[in-house]
Amino acid sequence: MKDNYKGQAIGIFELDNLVACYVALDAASKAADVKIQGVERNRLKSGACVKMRGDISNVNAAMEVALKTAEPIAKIVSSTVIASPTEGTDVAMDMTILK
Amino acid sequence: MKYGAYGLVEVLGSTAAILVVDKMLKTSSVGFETWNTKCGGHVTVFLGGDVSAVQSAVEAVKENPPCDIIAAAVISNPSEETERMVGLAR
Repeated sequence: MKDNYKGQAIGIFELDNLVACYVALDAASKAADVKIQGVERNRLKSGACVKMRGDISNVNAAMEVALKTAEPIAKIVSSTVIASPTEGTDVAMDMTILK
Repeated sequence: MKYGAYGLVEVLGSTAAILVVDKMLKTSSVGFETWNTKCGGHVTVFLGGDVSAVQSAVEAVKENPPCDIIAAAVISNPSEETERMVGLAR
C-alpha cells in the first residue's frame, strides 16, 4: 500500500545506532500523530536515519521527543525538519526506503 | 497489538546473532520476530513477547553475553507505527 505523503512536512533524524532509532521512533510516534515513512540504514556501521511525515506541528513535537529520547543512548548525527518540501524532495524521500 | 514489547539486540556478525537469538529464546518465552543484517556485518535482532519475558531475555544476554553486544534495548507496548516498521525490517 503506497500511502501518499505528498507535500507533508518532513522530519528526518539520523543516529549512529539502529536500536536507538527504533526506541526514538517509538517514542516519537506515541508522542505525536506522525507517520514513519521509513528507517534507512545508510552508514557502514550501525547508523540509520528515520523519516517522519505529517503536518508541521506534529512533526516538530515528534522530532523534539525523538531527539530527547535518543540523547542518552546514541550519538545524534544530524536532524532536520522541512515544513513544506518541494516536489523533488518527495520523490527523493520515497526512493531510498530501506535499501 | 501483537506483542507487549520488542527486544532489540545488535551484534556484529551473523554467527554472533544466532548465538544471541538461541540464548534469548531459551531464557524466556519470547518469539523471534526478525533480524536486519547490514553490509558492515551489523545484525539487529528483533524479539517479541510480553514485557517481563523480553526484559529477562535482554538482561540475560547483557549479563553474560555469548559475544560482544553492541546495543540492546526493550521497547514496551510499541505503537502501531513501530510495529509497521519492525514488520518492514524483514
